[in-house]
Order: sequence, then C-alpha cells, then structure tokens
Amino acid sequence: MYKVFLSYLTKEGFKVAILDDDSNDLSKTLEQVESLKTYDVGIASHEINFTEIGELSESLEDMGVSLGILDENLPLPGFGTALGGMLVEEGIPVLFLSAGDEPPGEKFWLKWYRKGPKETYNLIFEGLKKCFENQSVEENFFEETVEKAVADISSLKHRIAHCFLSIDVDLQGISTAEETNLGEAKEYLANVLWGNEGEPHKPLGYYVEKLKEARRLAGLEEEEPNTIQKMLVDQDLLSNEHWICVKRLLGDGPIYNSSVYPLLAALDSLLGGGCCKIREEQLSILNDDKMETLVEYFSDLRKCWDESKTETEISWDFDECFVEGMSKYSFHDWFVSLNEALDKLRTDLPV
Amino acid sequence: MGNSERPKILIVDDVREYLYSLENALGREFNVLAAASMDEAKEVMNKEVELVLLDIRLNEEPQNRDGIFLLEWCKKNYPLKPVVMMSSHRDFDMAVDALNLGASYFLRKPINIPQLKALLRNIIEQARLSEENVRLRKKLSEYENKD
Repeated sequence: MYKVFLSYLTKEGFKVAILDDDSNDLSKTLEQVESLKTYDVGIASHEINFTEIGELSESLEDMGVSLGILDENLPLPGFGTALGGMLVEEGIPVLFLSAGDEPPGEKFWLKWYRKGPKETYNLIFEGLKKCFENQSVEENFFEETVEKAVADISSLKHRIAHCFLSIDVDLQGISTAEETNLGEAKEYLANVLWGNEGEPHKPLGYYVEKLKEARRLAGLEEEEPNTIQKMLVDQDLLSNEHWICVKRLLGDGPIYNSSVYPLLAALDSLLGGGCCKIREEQLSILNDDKMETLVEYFSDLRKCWDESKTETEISWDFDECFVEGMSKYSFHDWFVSLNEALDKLRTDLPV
Repeated sequence: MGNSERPKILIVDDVREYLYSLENALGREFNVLAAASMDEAKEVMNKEVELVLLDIRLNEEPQNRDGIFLLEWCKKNYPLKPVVMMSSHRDFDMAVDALNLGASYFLRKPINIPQLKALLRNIIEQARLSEENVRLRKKLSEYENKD
C-alpha cells in the first residue's frame, strides 16, 4: 500500500492537515512549524499522527480539516499524480509545498518549501488567507504578522528619518539665510560643515554615508534580503507603488541613481576639503570663484543635478514619486515625499 | 537683534545632532536653550523661557512618553508658557494626549523651518498678549478692590 503521512495543526477549531509521502520530509515541515512557536503566531499545538491515508476511515473533510498542505508531487494511486486534485474536488482548500520555481497550476499556490520557519509560516498565512478570505479567522490568525509588518515599516520610516532630519534642517537654514544675505549663508554653511568650537566634527564621507545607511535599512545596499525585504515579500508589497517610490527616491539600483546623491556628494567634497584646516581657511574655500555658486546648490538641487546628469547621463524622471505640488529640486520636498511614501506603504497593509 | 531682544525658547530633543541643527536654524531669530533629556530640560527651564519646543519621545523606545511627562511638568510649573510638540512618528494617541494636556500645537517631522519660525513667532505673540491680559485683569481687580 502506498503510504501517505499525515499530521495536523490546530488553532481554535481550525484543523490544518499536512501530508507527505516521505515521513522525513513531514518531520522537517513539522520541525519548521514547531519553531514557529518562537514567533508566537498562535499555533496552539500540533498533533503528530503519522497515518497511512489508506487507513483513514473518513475523508479529510469529514474529519474537519480546513486546509490541506501537501507536497505538490504527492502521488496517490487511483487519484492521478497529486492528492491535491482529490482534495480540491472534495472542497478542501489546498496549499502546495514545492521546491521548484514554477507553480504547479493556476488554482494552486506555490511557495519555496525548504525555507526557514518564517517562510513556512507565511506560506501557511497566504494559504489560509486565500481560503478564508473575509472571514474573521483570518484576522485572528494573522493579526500578529500584520502588526509586526506595521512595526517594521514604522521602524524603517523612523530610522530613515533620523538619517536625514538634521541634514534637512541644515539645508533649509542655509537656504533661508541665502535669501537675505549670501555672506551669512556661507557662514551658516561653514557652521554646518565644520561646526563651532567644541562641537563634534562630521567625519569624512558623512553625507553620502547617510544615504547609504538609509538604503541599507531599506535593503537596497545588500545582496542578501534583509528583514524589510523579507517582510515586503511576505506581505506582497514588492511591487507596491509606494515601495517603488521609496526605492526610486533612495536610488533604485546604484546609489547615484538617487535624486539627492549629487547634493550629498558635493557636501562631502566640501567637508573633505576643509576638515583639516583652520576655520579661516575653510571659509576662504567658500570665497573661491569656483565655490561662489556652491551655496546656491543647497537651496536648489537643479545645479547639482545638471552637473551630474552631464557626467552620468542618468534620467532624473522622479516626478510621480513626489507629493503633489512639491519640487523635485528641493531636498526638503524630497524628504517629505520619502516620508509620505513610507506612510502610504504602511497604510497599504491589510490591517 | 541682540540676545536680550530675541524671545528665549527651549528646544528638547534626544537626538543631539538634530538639536544642533535646530539651534543653528532658529538661533538668528530666537535665543535658544537646548536640552537632550527630561532632566536636562527641567534644569535649564526658567521663567524667561517664552516657549518650549518639545519632542514627544525622548529616547528610542516606542512606548516612551517622556515628552508627555515633561509637558505635564511644564504646564504644572509654568502654566502660561506655550509648549509645541513634535514627532517623527504617527503618534495620534500621544498627539491627542498632548493637545488635551495643553500643548499649543503638534508638528510632524520633517519640519519646514520657515513655517516653524512663523508658527513660533505667532504663538509667542499670543502668549505675550495672554500674559498681558492676565496682568491687566489682576491690576484691574486690585484697583476695584481698593474702591
């Protein structure tokens, strides 16, 4: 007799059947599910009940199974190549586990099987979500994951904000000073770059490093997906329009694709030029003919952009990522738009 | 404008870098005192301060309410001094708490500096008028009592 092994997950009256023709694989799945408890996802217990399906006296539906989770290629003599076909016909929703890249069929769901516990949980999450759409069980069962995703995005927004809050105020200060007095604006810029006596000096590369840090937090600097990237996959937000805006504003691809990179690089070059000299020399740098227009950079990004565009021929088409009415040539407007996109991303979660 | 002519304000934010930036940005128009914690703020707060600009969270913990506690302390000890709250979070509950406790305004970061300056000027002006009103009413009442 062909053996199929079965075990259950139970949660508040909902019974999820896990089936596999290989008891070792089933054990692995159960191990993963067991470790899910560390995420406190609400799986109260599971009942290990290795059973040969041929010995089942009643159908899974009659046994109160709400969802089947099984290997996509699980064969059962007499029922075609996949047991899932039978279960679907019986009206039991099925979630297929697979190690492959291609979905086995339109009405089935495919997820990578041999992943970590969080992926296994999310796999169950997605399956149940599809099965019990609009039913209260979904909220009870998944509340915690969504709450965690909300917390992840809030934390990302907060940490990214902290990368730029100070720079934003400094640049607005320079810009405001420039409106009344260019000399005052230069003095202000010198203060921002090299500080007053007793104040900490900014390290070399400070400005571009802030952009890198923000990109790192959003998972755009690393090859391996970070927590945020994983959460976006889990919540199906990778192609969300607001996430795309976040990526484009921070630089989708290489760092210099960010609209504010030229400005931050210009600030860094000034910082590097002056950090080891005495203050009078630092100020004289700003009086050089070459530097005469530098202050203008900080009230209008256009100049930085134009130079960078000539060098790299990058297309700066970011209009749709900016909040309506905001200027893509203003650092502050860029920053507000970035915050807005992160806020909207959070509100797109199914809370 | 000399120091004495500029309204004295106290800025409280736990991120020192941001504190320096705000000091720089507002320093030409206001006489700025800065504090990075609740204790530091209580130490430097005095009756000369005309307005407090206060971050709602004074450390990284999500549930931190030091800003709210400090607001309560200010309202208890300096009831007529306006307090403007700010936050980079969507702290709707805390914002409501703050307004109920007497905060004059709630600002979300990132803050537009020209707008902030205009807001602070207006609130200080209003507070001065209120203080003047209280002072004159008191004087009037004393005068009436004499008669």
